[in-house]
Amino acid sequence: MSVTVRAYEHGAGTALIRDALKPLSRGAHASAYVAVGDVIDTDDSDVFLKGHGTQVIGDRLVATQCGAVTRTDKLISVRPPRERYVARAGDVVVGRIVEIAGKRWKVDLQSQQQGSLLLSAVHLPGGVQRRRNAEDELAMRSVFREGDLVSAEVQQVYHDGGVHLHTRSLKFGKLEQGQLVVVHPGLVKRQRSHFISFEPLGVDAILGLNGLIWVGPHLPRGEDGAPAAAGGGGGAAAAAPEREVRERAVRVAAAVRALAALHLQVFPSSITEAYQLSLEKGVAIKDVPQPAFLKLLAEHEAARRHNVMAAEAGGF
Amino acid sequence: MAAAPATAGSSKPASVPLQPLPRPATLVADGTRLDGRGLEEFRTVFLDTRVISRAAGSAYAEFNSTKVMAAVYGPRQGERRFGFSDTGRLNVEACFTSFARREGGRQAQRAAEKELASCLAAALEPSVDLGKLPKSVLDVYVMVLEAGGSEAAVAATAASLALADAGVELFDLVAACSVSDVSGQLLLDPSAAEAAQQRGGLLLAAMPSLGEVTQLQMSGDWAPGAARDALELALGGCAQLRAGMRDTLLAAEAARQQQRRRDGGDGGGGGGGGGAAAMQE
Amino acid sequence: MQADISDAEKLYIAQGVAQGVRNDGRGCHDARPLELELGVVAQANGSARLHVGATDVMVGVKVSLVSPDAAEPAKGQVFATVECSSCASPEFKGRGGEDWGIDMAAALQSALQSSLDLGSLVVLAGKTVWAVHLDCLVLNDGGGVLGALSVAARAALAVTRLPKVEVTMGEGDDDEPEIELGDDSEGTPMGVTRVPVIVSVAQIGSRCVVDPSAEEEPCASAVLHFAVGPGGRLGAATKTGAGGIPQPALLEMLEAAQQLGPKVLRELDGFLAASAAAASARAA
Repeated sequence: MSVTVRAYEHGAGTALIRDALKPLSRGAHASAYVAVGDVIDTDDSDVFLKGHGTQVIGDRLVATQCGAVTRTDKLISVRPPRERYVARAGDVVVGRIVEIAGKRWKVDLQSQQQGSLLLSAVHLPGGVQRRRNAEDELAMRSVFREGDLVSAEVQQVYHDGGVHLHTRSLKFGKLEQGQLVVVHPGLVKRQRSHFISFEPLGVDAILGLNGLIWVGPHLPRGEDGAPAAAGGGGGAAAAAPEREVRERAVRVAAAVRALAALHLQVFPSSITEAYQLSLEKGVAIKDVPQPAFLKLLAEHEAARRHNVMAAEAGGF
Repeated sequence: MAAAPATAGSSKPASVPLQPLPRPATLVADGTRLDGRGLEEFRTVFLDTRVISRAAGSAYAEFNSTKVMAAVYGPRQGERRFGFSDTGRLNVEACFTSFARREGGRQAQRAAEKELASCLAAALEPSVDLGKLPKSVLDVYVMVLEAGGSEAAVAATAASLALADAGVELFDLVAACSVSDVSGQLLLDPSAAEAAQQRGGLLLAAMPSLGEVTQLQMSGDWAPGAARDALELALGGCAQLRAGMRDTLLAAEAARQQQRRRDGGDGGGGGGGGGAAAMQE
Repeated sequence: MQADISDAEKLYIAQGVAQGVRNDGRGCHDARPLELELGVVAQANGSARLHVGATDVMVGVKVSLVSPDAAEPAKGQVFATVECSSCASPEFKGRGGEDWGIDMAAALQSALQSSLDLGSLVVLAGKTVWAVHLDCLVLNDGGGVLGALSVAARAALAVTRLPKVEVTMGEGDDDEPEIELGDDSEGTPMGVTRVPVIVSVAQIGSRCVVDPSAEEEPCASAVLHFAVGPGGRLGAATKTGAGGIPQPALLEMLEAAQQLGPKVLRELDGFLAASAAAASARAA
């Protein structure tokens, strides 16, 4: 039973990662922060592609948003630090049902508009794709209720910003047996699969591109991706995970929070590294998102990037 | 602060300012309180049900100078703006009559009414099986006619009786009582004069048959051990009170049955039989 | 204020608590770390801002000279108000936050009235006393707001300085004494040793956890908030939540609060002493 009282430092996480990575940035490849209207250094090269958040005025590249300059080969773009999630077709997202209205569920995606999950876009129990009838509409609440978390895929984004979701594959649907970690959407990048299974740990994670991440103990799934637990959705009430598995799942969630505090990208290998580091250093789960471990994690990341850059330089 | 008497010939009667609450030097002497009670005795308790004919259920509780009336309306349709709900809603409103309290203007009275309402809601909610009342609301209205000490406790008791009288499905009756720490001595069911001089006060509402506490409010300053003793005293008091509440409800029902038999078949279901249970220790 | 949370998440949390593992890895008797900033509002006589998890609260203290209450001529006065800013949560807009704020302000005020040395706030008995106004602002709700407010209030009061007052008696017998406020820079501190901190203990299933987070609060059938002073003295207690608490659980929760409260006070006092020492070292 311990209590800590310490001084509050504004933006402690940002300061830590900035200090750790400062020695690595050099020259034009430095991540400079620019404000609206600033001219971006293009290395005196004529051949560049203007990316998001920039425009060409005359012969100069000017920023249209405040943020960090990112360069990918010849593509120069400006990423604002506090962007809200913008949906694109094919995105895997995690959202919370907020309303049931006329044959559709309204889903909060932490985006500018709520997502719509139509009754016809949902996989109903019974397996077979069948026509939705009036009874289904009355029984919508028995499928998803207000407050439930669901994983879904963005089916289509309309020109007025409306987002339509679907859960037609069995791997999508109501989320049970786990906890939600909310991070900034910019920290989750598009990947081959957003349904991660940390095999040796027995922990599963769903990385929603809108910044909502679901972490929980591994739920066995069948070939088609459907949960194989008895009674599908009712499996939650059936078997509570054992204490060890739960501790590992909670540690993974804490690792995700630590990465988010340092504004580092969240993807399977970064989560695994943060997890392993916390075990190596014998950090208690509740201390993982705290400044002491964040410092270690920032230094670890700096060392990793240094090695990567050294390898690249050596390869030339 | 005595008022000057009205002079002869003036048409307006002189207004008599409220006397401040008397503060006797000793409240307890040799284990006997000013009104002759022992330290762990309730005041004279009078409980009655079916006092308001229009309400689904109602009750009146009088602990000497603290008089509270409670009425229950419902269950009835909840308002749409609260959205869908699997469980019912308990809505409690409390008011003090303008002559109920000695001190405080309208502002203070409104604040006290809000506080009392939320205190009662918390005390009563665990006892009501709201799961059996989806999309419905139960309105409980409590009126304090005279505030002579421990109003919240008496109000909770009256409200719980009213809920039982209304036929709402309850897990148990809720009995509530207060305990005051006056100069190191614990007094059960304090009067206003005793509460005014307390070093620490405690309100406890419980469901005695289930052994569960539904509301706890403490104020003032309590030594660690004294708090525990006060809690145990209050729990005992609640158990006593619940027995009285049960007697009231059963007596009322017996009287109603007798009345029905006397009236024969001519539609006379009216008139609540008053079942009064006076508790004397 | 309740967070939006699904039944599945609540079940996961409840099962975890039963096993002694909370969602953030804490044990049932672990409180979250407290991050404190002092003197954040220059115009106030004392102020503090506290971060606990996602909860962010700020307390400003202003003192003024007033005539005492007729019923208590030899005591100063203390008032607390709590505002839940609409910026903090869309749930707070309109009346919702107001009622919650009123309840918390009442709890804080009652705790302070019985623990601050009000007799020491008298300038001229019967005529002039100090009135201490605490204005509390809830900037973000991450669970445990009442506890956070109590810690911030104690910290703000600890750094509050009462301006020096010079009383010159009138020349004649009927003349009113003159009261002059001294320089703000030299003030007297207030006696805050007995000011309690509020420890929240939630009942989840059959276990109790201290300092519930925002996601744990909706899982709790009941939460008890105890104002605990030094030595485990109890100041005040309130219950929130619609569930009943079995008698043995009630005593267990009381015990847990009486264990944790003094620890929080010790750490807080240590931090305040260290900051004061650092501040005077800087000034020197």
